[in-house]
Amino acid sequence: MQRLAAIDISIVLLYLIGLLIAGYLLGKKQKTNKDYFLGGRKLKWPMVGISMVMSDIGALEIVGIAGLAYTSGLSMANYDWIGCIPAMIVAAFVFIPFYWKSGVFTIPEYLGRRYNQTVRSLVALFWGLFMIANLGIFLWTSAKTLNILVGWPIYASILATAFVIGFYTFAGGLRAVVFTDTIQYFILVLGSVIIIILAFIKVGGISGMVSTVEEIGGPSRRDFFHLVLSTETTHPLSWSAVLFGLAFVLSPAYWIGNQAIVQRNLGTASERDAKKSVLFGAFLKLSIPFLIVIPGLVGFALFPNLEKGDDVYPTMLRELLPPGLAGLVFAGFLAALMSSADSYLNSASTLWTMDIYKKYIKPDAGSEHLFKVGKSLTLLFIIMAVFLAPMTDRFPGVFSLFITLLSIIQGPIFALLLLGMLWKRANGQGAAAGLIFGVTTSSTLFWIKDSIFKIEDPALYIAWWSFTTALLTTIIISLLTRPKPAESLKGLVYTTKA
Amino acid sequence: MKEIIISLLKPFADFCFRCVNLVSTDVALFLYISVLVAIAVWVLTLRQEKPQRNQRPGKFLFVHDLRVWAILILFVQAVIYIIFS
Repeated sequence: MQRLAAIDISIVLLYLIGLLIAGYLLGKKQKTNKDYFLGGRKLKWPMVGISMVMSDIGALEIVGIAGLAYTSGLSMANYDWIGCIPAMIVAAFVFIPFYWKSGVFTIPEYLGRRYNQTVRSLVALFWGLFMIANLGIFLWTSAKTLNILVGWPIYASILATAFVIGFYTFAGGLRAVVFTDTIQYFILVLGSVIIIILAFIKVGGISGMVSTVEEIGGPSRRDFFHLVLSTETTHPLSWSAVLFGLAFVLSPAYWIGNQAIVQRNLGTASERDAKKSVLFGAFLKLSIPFLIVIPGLVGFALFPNLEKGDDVYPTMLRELLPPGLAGLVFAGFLAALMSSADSYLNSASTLWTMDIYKKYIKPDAGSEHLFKVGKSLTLLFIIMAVFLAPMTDRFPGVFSLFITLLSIIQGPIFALLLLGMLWKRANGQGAAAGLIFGVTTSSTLFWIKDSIFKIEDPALYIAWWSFTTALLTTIIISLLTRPKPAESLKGLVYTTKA
Repeated sequence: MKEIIISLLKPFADFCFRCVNLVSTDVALFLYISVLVAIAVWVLTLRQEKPQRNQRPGKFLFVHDLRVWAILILFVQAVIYIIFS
């Protein structure tokens, strides 16, 4: 097996050392929780836009989406197109300015003000656990790739990656996360462009790819180059799953209700900058499938006999790139991994500091004290993620696991956010019942999925049904119980002014 | 317990599947494009997203209106779907 040459490993090590230094330098002047969690509210909008996209397309997406594109085709691009862009546009004009004006640190904090503290604590708990579980997945993905490419033992790779991410996130907070994400974006784009060009040269261009896929794939690859698939497919991305589960629920839930994504928007200097950052992110999203789905498609034409789809990106990296370039592209891959992991690490720490620690353990804590707590939790969570990482291997694909975890909680939380912002009559009792019933619905549907759904991976349908049940439950219970006083809703509902 | 839940939900699941199965991929594409167009129309109905004077002094150009960029992004997205559907 060909592995990275000494020059490649040197490039990767140089890059990692650079990140450590950047984290240290950016963290030196930080004193308060506002500096640490929101970058002092001085973040530049283009960097925030890039950081949003980078937090979304981690190594998980590169390995996972390229892997699923390898097995299922172009329809995986739906995750980045209709599964992002409409929701980002709506978020830019309605939700993000709303959060920004309300001056909150976290989404659960908004929900606590809008509904009650039970809802805030439940949402913080769900998101906090989801983020720590994801950190474990991120670390495992990188360790597997390092193992294939560099030959490092998996556990040594987990520790090395955890150390680098943990250090710069611990030292530099959100400002370091956004800064490193920006650098990482350019390295990722460069890396992906190089790998795509080399792959197309080898396969004979676009026409060579299409004819090779048709030749080796036969009728089973009929839908390989199509975005809109019939519901008769066994593929998880049939048109109805994409429209109802992804475009209407998971995507808006992700771009409007995911703390790791929204947190950097709250760190911009003005409401207009917050909007600009999301629109810029949506603009960048148009190009992302070309960078991560195309490698999966062309990878199938080049290496049709891989055991797992997730192996396609590391295999292309190993087989196609000459020494020197391999190190650069691999640094880009690590960049993508870290950009997601650092965001989740920083956001998990923010959630637990602001919504659990400050709320239940030390309500009178000052900003400097919370800053120190946030840093300690960052350290604690990365250690927990190291222990959780090996569990990822029990699941068939990393991206499927991520979407599965996401679909359990995202639908119900989105229902609460939507009703909370748009409907004055929604109240705390309704929201708590909706959240619990929604999560129970998604968990139950996962339990019986093989008997109910006709496709193997129905996460998108489950997201739709958990959203619908949470929405209906919140509406019914709210109507049956006493409304919140109108004066307590000022500035918290779209139609009311602060 | 599991069997009881399945027996309750299975007829409804089958009904939903039959309904969505009646929709062809051409109609599905139309629905996708309709979502993008509906958002673009909604964006147009919002008030102009102009910069404040302290943010951008000087003459206001239409490209300073953030709505223009949103509609451009949605347009490109619709074209991509029409090409690759």
